[in-house]
Amino acid sequence: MNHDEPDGHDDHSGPTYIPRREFLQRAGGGIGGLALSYLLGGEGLTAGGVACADGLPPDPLRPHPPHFPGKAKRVISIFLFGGCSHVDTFDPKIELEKQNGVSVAGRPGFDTGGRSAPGSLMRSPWKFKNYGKCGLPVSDLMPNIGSCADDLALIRSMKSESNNHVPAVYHMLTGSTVSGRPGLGSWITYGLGTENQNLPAFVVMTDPRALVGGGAGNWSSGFLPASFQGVQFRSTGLPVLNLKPPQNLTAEKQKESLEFLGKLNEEFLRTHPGEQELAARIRTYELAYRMQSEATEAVDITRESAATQELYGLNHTETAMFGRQCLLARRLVERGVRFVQLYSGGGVFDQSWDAHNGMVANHEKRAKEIDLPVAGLLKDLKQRGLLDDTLIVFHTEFGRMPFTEGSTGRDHNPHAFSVWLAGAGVKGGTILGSTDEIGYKAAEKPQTVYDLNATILHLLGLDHKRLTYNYSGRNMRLTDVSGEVMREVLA
Amino acid sequence: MQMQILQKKIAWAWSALFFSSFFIGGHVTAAQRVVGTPTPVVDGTYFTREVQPILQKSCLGCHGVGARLSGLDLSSRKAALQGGTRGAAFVAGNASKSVLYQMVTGVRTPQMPPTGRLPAAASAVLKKWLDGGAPYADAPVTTAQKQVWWAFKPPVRPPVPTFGSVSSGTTHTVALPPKSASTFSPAAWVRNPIDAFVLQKLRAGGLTPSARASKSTLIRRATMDLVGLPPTPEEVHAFLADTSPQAYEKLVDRLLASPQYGERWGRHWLDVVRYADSGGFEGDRDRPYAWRYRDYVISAFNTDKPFDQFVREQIAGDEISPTSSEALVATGYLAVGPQDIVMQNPKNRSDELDDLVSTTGAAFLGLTTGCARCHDHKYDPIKQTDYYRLQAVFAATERRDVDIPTPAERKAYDELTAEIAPLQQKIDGLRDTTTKALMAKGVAKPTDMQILAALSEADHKQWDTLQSQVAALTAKRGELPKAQIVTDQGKTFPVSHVMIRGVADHLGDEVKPGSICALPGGDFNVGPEAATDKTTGRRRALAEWLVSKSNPLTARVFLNRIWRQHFGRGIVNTPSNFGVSGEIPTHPELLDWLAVTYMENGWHLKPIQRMILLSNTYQQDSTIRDAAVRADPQNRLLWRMPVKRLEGEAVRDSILSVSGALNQEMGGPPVYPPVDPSLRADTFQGPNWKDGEDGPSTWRRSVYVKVKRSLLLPELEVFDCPEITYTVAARNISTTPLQALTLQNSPFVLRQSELFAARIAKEAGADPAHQIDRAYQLTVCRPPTAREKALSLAYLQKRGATGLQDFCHALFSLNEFVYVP
Repeated sequence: MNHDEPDGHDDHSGPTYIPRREFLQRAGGGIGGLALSYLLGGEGLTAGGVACADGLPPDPLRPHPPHFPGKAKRVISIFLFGGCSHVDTFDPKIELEKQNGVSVAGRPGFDTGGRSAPGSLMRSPWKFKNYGKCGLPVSDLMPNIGSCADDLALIRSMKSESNNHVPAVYHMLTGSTVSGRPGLGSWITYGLGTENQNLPAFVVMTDPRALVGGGAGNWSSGFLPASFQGVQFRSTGLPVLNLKPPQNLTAEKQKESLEFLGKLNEEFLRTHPGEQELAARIRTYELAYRMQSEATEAVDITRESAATQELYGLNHTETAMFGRQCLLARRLVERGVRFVQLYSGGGVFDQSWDAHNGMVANHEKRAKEIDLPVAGLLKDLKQRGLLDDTLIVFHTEFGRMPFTEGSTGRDHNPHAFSVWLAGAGVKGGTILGSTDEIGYKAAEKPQTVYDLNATILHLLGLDHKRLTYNYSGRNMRLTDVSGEVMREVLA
Repeated sequence: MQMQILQKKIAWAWSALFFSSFFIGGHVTAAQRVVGTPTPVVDGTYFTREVQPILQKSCLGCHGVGARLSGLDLSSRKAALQGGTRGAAFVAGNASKSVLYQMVTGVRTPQMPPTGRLPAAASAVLKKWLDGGAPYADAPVTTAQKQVWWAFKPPVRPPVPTFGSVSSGTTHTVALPPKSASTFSPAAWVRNPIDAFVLQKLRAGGLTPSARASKSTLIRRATMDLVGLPPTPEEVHAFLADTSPQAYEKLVDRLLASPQYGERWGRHWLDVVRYADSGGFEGDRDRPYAWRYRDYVISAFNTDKPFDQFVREQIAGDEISPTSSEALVATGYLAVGPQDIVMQNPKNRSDELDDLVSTTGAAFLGLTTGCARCHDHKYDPIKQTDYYRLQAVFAATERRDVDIPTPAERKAYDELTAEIAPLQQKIDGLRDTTTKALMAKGVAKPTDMQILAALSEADHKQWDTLQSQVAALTAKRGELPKAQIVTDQGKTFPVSHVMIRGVADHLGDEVKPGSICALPGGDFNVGPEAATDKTTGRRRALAEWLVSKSNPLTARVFLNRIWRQHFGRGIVNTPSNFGVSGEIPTHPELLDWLAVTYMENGWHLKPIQRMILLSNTYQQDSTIRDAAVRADPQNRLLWRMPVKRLEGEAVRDSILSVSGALNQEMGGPPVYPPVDPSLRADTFQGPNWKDGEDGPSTWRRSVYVKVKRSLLLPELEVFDCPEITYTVAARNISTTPLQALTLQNSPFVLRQSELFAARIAKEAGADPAHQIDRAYQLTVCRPPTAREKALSLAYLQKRGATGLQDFCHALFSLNEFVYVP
């Protein structure tokens, strides 16, 4: 850890957020009755929710200007849980070919942090090819992603602070190895609000087969208000928990109920004039009502063309599941959702990318599931012009060892792994940093999770040192007391 | 060095306490400050009166003699002009060219002060001063006050203000006369010392208290507040019918004596101590016995266990009363934090100890102790060595599962064991003789099957009978109750070290177990002589210091938490930060009076809460008054009772109570209300959630719902129930569309609406007017207004067959149902 400010001060001149309660208390003053019919009948709110002619406080999720103009307006995070092997995907190592089978057992400098006993150096079971004008080498595990090479900025020298899944996942996704901190998407929606109040600002889609380690701790709003919490979209049925009323309740009846409720609430407000929190609460019923139709429409992929469905791999058994999530991600960002997070893998061992028991069986299967859909997403965003202002983050919690665990597996490697960025503000076709000759440790230009998060915020126009929230007597940051923007990957 | 920072900050804090206009609304406006006085000349006096308080509050903590961050010292003109790494602090006579002014106005980064932009009025004062040549007074600012930060001095009982013919508030000036001075009688309003202290501040702020709330408002407020459930219509009726002057007092006493009181107030404490039923991290493994600590907390509130004892038991129950199950269970406080069980290494151990130091510092001392893990605290006098002295206190601890039978359980267990023994002996005897006989016949190692086959018919029968008797008795005996406790690994433990920059394998100087040296008595050291039979005695020493009368923080911090729950904001509104970067108290004398009274009366909480509830301050109406809200928009001076949003638990519990479904069984293992299948997942130890029925066995109070760190019950989470990793000082209060969706569409709420409707049909009969009355009484504890009734009748009629259920369902979404005036 290094303190980047010798005097410990941050610059807090960023967008100032006033917690709702605080705002209401500060705003004070009587507002008298509220035109509820106005709220309930049609266009009560602008999409941004900034219209406060009725005297309501602005919603915490209203769009906020960034600290400085950022290229990215929204983010799709694709997270591979379990630890995707860098030496088998984006970081070819000739030395591993040469020294394949050489035992490192007991050799100083090789250890797994007390996990498994190091075996022998193991070459990648997959061949690498150079892709694109930039000639980026990508293994046969991910040929479709390889075909997008010129759009990718690969960071090969990532390091993590933990070699255990959950702390490392928390580290990558919340900035801290311990749970309880706001997720990346929470920080971003706290900083920028959302462009569409009728959908959750921060949407999470987990692997429907098994939950990512650390669970909801990865998209919790931590100490930030619950407004900034990630909302899980389910892969089947209703996208949002409790989204729809019971089937026997027609839309008309539902509207009738809402109007009735509105009138009753109005009565209470009349006897408690000036309680703006009550007025704000009435508004959330309107938002919830809109979310019902808008979220349902957002996940209706039947209207997508056959070509688009094919592009995401919806017609193939292996790719259909993740393809659907990638397509939903596009549909959501298209509709103004600020941050979408997709998870590949969950649970333990071979339910995830955690290839202790054998690289081939594990990574072959996992990569097959995501390669075509991720490439489809990149291509689709590009053809729609959305890649210009959408940032894609492709990450994992750590890499894997260059040597064997058991006979054909690899153990966790927190000293080196690869992630890539693509899209808004990213210089495609670049490689930042490198690992040593066997891929055991980051060598040139080592990059921390703080650096990655600082870069993501920077691309959105947020200064990671100024995006703070006072909690427990401290101005908390996503990047704690570290983080340097990776200038090399910026377009 | 740190103390000097404090001494400088303190001057502002104390002066502000008596400077009423400064106080209201949190910051002063230039207009308020100069009313009625001629335009001031910028000179030494101006500096002392106007500028110095700003510097002391916002600048000198870091840029004074003590700290000199960035090399800057603003305590004297000479030093300020000499400047720091960013050059001279100012250009005398030109504010806009002055670095100091540029930074406080945001023209130049970093923005100063880092904790938040100065009020416009304060910037204006600085501008005027700088433009006027930036004069200082003769003496350097550092020597202006030699006081210790208020919270670090033991509380002394202040005199209670009196309101006879002469106001006792002689130190303050009343900026505005109370509006209704002609009708308001202070002496009549003041019911107890709380009122006297509150009224003193109100008057100083030119405000009057609000009128007394209606009786129906009061019973709902007090009941929700003390037991977390709405009063029944019968309770409301009885209270309204009781016209005796003691009616309200009797109500409060009844509520304080109710077992549901402990469930409500225990839950508040569980937030502070980061309670959960699972360990977090990978696998988020269940802790099957954690609930015993939860039940201990509930019982401690119900029995009004003296808080000093409560603290001793939680920190060191195993050292103080090693044979008491209750005291052992209390150490669950130390066990319930998250733990990464996958790997044990120095970093993880250091994180675990950090959990204990940070939580203990925040929970009991109201200090951000955790900030000193990597360096000396930036604001408070907590040295990094102090932090590691505290880590050393806990260094020897380990979690252990132990039997914690009551004497009766132990007796029953032993008796059954004694009953089993002779039966088992007989079995063994049969086995031995038969074995010997078989071996004599040449069978080398007879198996049970061979033995059985060799038994005579009578012996075989006896064998079977004995076996089934043993099995039955063993089943009857069961297992002794278990708890996860924390105790020391032994009487001694290796020496502890400072970890340089907080890095676990980068050890610095040795430290002895102790606490924060700058606090009264905190400089104690625990030596080997403190050891008990089995433990180091370190935690006992810490506990005794925490509850010693000279400890300035423990009582204040706890009572401030209690106050905050009642009034929606604390006297210190940063309940876990009483340090220099926390907020200063709105009513310091009141807090001290309460703290001293509390300690002198044996640390009993219920009498304090009784006094709070019986005060006229608490009984005020919550209606917003225009003039008052303009003068004090945050209600810091308590000119009204705020309208409070119910916590997630209270929302769920109220729904269950109103529908009539609430199962009031107390204590025991946590229950699992069903969750949506999409939230269930497989983990290392099987399913992450053991779905129970949507029925009476899970319709318990929410304090008994499983607290799974990786999966909070959605109905609770959506209403800001915290993800409990760290101590929670104050929950967020957010208002989101997902809350609306939950109350409208969740299967749980729909089912409860059904039950609610059935209850109404049963209790109110078929007459819609009666049904509406009853439903309103149950949900919001009052009859409907004429308009509400008319609307409801129309709605019921329009909805036909589903009308009653739809109506009941709608009431759960009423603002008034989740907000208590």
